[in-house]
Amino acid sequence: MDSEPRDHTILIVDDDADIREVLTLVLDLDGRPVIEASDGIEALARIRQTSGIALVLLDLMMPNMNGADVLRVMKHDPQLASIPVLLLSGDRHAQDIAEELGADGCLGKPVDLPVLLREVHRFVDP
Amino acid sequence: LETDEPGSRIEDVEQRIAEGRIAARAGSFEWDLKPGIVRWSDELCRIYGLKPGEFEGTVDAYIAHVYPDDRDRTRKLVAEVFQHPHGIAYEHRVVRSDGAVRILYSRVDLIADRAGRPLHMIGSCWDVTDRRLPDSSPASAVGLLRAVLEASVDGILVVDRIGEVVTFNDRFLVLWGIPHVVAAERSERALIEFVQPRLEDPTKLLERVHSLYVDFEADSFDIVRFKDGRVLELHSKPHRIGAAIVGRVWTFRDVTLRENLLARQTLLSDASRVLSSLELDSALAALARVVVPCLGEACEIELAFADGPRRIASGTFREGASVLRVPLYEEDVEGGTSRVIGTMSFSAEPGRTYGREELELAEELAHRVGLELENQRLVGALEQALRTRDDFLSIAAHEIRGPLMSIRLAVDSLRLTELPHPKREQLHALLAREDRRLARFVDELLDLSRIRTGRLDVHVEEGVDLPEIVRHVVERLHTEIAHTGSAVSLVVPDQPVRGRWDRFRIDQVVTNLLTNAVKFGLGKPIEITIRTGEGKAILEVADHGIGVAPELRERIFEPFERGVSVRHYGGLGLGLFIVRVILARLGGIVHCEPTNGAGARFIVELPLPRSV
Repeated sequence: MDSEPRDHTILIVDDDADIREVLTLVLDLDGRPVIEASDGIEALARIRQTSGIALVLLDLMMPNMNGADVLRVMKHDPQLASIPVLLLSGDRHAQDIAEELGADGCLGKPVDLPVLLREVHRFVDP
Repeated sequence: LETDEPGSRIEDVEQRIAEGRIAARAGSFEWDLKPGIVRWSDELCRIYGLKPGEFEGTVDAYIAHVYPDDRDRTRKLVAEVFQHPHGIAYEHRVVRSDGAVRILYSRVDLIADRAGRPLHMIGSCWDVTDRRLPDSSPASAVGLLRAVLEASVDGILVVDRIGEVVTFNDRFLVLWGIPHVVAAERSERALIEFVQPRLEDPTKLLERVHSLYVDFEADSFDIVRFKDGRVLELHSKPHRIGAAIVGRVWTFRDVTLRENLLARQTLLSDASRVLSSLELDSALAALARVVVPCLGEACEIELAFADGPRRIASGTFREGASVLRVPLYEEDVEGGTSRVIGTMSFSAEPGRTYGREELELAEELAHRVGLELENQRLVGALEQALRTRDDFLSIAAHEIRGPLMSIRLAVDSLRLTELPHPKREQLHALLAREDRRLARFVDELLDLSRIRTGRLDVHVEEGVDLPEIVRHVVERLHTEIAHTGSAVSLVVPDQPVRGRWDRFRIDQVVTNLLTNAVKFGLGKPIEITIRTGEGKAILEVADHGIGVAPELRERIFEPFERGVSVRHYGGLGLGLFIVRVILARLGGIVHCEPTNGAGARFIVELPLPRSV
């Protein structure tokens, strides 16, 4: 998963290891290089050290640093601000948070596979 | 007023008139009905301010001398005489020739022939304007009246129409504190002037008395408050003789006790009302204001709360004033205990000193404040419980969405795409894990519900083998353990470790502890040790993960508590709570210690049968 990131790399940020595993599996099947992070701090480190991240799938509720803070940092950093971010959350206010913080979309947990892929394809060529 | 006397008999009537004339310079008249001539005696003329023979001799002329407001009534009274064979008596006002208005008391009878046809109307009239109670009353009647007056528990005062005192009883003097020398003046004005300085509202009584001289017919009811705190209830009614009002009868009752009780009840009910406000500071401020007029001119409430002292006051404590101070208790109604958490103080008006009644009232108020503080505490606890419940529901929803999301994506993948075998296997394993995760949630929720309702079932059996259960659990959790990368080592003693326990519940204890170790173990080794000693079986589950801060080592066993901040790690925060409850049911205990270096060690002690 951590192997040579390419231009279409997708970063999955979620504290639930099972969710990371299944997302990695389905996106890998879709032909995407995928890297993972289990909290916000790790996510920012990954984003900064990996060039060519095409999309961040970002959970909101996480230890150490939550998804909203990750998004705030990204939007204030000119080098990161343009990276598309899809929020992935069961929080009923997730849509509001996405709009407020300038995320590029919001997917509710649990999400259907076709819906997930359709949203991903908005940012990454199929 | 109808007399009981046989007025139809001329002899009787004439005799009475004669007596009356002698007794009190009565005037008399005779109306010869047939020619319609009215004759007045010289004395009657004098009463009207006329010279003898000056009266015109007709009924209309008589009516013309009557005070204008009384003329209609007088005509009706004259007509009444024909309906009453025993005669009537009445009072009315007349206007003398010099313009003076006088009150006349008249007794009038009808003289009829043997066939009952009326021939004459005759009568006697007294000028009663300056009248006293008739001294001519029979001694027995006066004695009876006096006895009735003095037997009354109420004060009684009778005044005439011009404000002179007719009579009173001793109780009247006592209630108003009037010395005999003042009473001897027999003047209502003198009485009022004497009591006025001692009343809270001196003008009110005077105004009321004045109004009753304008409206003679009125009844009155008033409450009069003395500056010394006494309260009198005043009733008055017109004193009538026949249809005429000749004065006023006053009765006075001491209602101080009743009024004080009422004031006390009103104060307590006001206090309860303001205290029922949910915001404590505003409730206490309102209370301090409410009590001020009744319990003094200033009130101060001082409380020592955990978050600092609180002082609420109304009014100013005057130097040298009498002060009443009572403790405030925080009452624990459930526990039946109370502890002092402050004081409530009152400062009296100048000249007032506090007594037993005020102390009792203040203590009752303090008691109510204490109950209110307890209510506030309960409301706070309830709100905290509601917040905890909401947090729990939110966490539960979050925790259930995780596995649901994994399951949905896995199922969609298996259903919609062609997968190579290893990927299918991976997804099947993931589905199995998520299935167990959800099942654990449901079990924990059910156990919580059972614990809360006291229905957690425990079935003790002989020979439950602790190492065997631990091995089963490790085996069952193998996938999860392997997934995090942790390795589990198990150390068991050579001899068997068996006890009278519940197999299923012990399995649950081990499962929860091991799941925790896996979850918080950061993928590092987990050591499980079983040993015996001091009649106990001891199970230790140690990890080298994030550990538990010392201040949290007890709290983590409370429901919904967790060593790490809420929502950082999965789970409902119920596992350790359930472990502790189960062990308590089995006579065991559990506690948490740090391991050498980082990590946590959970130590379970279970009682062993004596023979082992």
